[in-house]
Amino acid sequence: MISIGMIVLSLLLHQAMMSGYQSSQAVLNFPKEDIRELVRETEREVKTAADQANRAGVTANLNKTISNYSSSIRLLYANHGQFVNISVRDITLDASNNISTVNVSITFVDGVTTYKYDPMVTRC
Amino acid sequence: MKNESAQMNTIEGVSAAVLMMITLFFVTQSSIITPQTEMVLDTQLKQLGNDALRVLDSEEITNNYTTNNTMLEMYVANWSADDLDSDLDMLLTDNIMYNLDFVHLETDLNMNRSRVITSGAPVENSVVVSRLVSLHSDDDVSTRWNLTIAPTDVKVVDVRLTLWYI
Amino acid sequence: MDFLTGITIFLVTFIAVALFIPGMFTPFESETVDLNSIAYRTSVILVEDPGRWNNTTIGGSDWERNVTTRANLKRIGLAIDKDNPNVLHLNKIKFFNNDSFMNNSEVIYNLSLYRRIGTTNVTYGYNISIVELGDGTIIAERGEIISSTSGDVVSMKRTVLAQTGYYAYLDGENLTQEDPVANTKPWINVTGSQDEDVVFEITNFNVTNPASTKYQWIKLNNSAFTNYNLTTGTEYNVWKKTNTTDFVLSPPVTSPINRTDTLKFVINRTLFFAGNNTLEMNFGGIDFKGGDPLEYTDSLLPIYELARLTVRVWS
Repeated sequence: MISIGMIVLSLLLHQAMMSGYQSSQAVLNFPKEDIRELVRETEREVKTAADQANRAGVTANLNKTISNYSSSIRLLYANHGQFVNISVRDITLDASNNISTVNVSITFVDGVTTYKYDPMVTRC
Repeated sequence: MKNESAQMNTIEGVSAAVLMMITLFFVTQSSIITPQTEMVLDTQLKQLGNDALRVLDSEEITNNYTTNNTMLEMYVANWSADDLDSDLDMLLTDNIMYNLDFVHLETDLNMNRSRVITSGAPVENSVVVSRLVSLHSDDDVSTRWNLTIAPTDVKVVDVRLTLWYI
Repeated sequence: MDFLTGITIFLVTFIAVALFIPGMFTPFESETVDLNSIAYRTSVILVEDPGRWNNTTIGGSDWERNVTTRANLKRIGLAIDKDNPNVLHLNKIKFFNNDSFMNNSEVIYNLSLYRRIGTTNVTYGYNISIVELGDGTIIAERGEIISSTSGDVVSMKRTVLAQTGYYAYLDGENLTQEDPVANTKPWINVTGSQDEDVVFEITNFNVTNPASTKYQWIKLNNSAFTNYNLTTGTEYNVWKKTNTTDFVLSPPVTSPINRTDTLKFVINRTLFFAGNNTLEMNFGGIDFKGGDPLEYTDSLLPIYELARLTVRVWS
């Protein structure tokens, strides 16, 4: 009986220790700069790509550029130990067939924190 | 021999009590882990590094009204190590030394790290901060990059700053 | 013998347990105070947060325009907006720096620089300063001076871009002159009194022969002055930037002027009053077209300076 009690207590002890440590680590190491940078850089990139696509007259260029950008970013962030995924959800054109709004989805996971921004509406 | 079961009983009871006490002790003590004091120097250094890179990459102090590029983007495109060095020297305090690398992907998807500014080998307690810069076809890219960028291409460079206190 | 053994073990354990229990409860009684977190948190609120005001129905982050009801002011962040951290807004800095707007204890309560022990609030000492990098001019400072009786002092330094004023960027081709005075005397209008020095840059002059072009003087017409010739040094200064040099302080008569040169005028704000303030400049060798004066206040851009924001907290 006592041994059963001991086992239960030691399990509880372990859980308490682990969760306390994990959550304190999550708070202290929150990747604030990484997430902010990711969102801002993506927004700038989408605007530049839309600008280029408008000048070339080919809307599909935007998808191509963003997919290039997404694969580069994914590898660079993987180097830091973080998973990142960026994809274009949809594009709205205005009256003169220029890109006016782009919806982008951003995902960021680093093991402790998960961040999703879906959809991020970028006005060009 | 006297009846020894009494001693056994006492010892059992005592050890049970002691075990429970120890468990409770550990449970209550360990859920108050606050390992903050070591992180302090870390936080200040990291924040100074991040702030320096963010200010350089901000759209508010761009010199170039035609391309709308930030200063950091221009420095990366032109590979201007000296300008970067003097700006970082001004933004960071005097007791900080730093190395700067550009990390980027080659065409064959290998990661290439080029050292741009070096002040020696980093010591213990050094931190790394990074900032992304994207280069496009209409940027004035220096020949040191040894590449051409197609109109739908983006070259993303990770500017990595390693900082430590002297 | 058995009794002795038994009672010894029992007493030892009992005393150990009795001594242990108070020790177990100490983490729950007092607060571990970590001043570093407080300094960091305060610096994040000031530098990265645009602040917030709200009443029961509406709210926003432009608290510098909604200061009449003080109770609505929730956070006094200084950033211009949430997408631009580390860039500080001029009016927010001014309100923060103003003792009569928020006195020291109001700042303490807004930034939570205190802790509660029992029923009383124990406040920390603090000093928050924004100092320009480079020349060290103090843009803002609040709080007390560190005294010799304070305990641990912790500090957190941040690098920011602090807005120090506004300027207008004018195209020399668009400058007009008051018909039919003279086509070498362009004019600019500044409406209203100014809280900051009037700064404007002119470039792209319509220049045919740089060697014979020059700038000579500037005159002010408003409710207080009529045709008043401004003097360099105290009342205004003119700076010139060329293709090869950055802005250099220029003598009152500036020559030559190329098309690609930029002239920057910085005029003391105390010379401007309510109503129209018209500035008339005299150039030699440049033709300006006729028309209504350009309005300075129409296209103001912010001026940012690199600065260090330091938060010091002590108990």
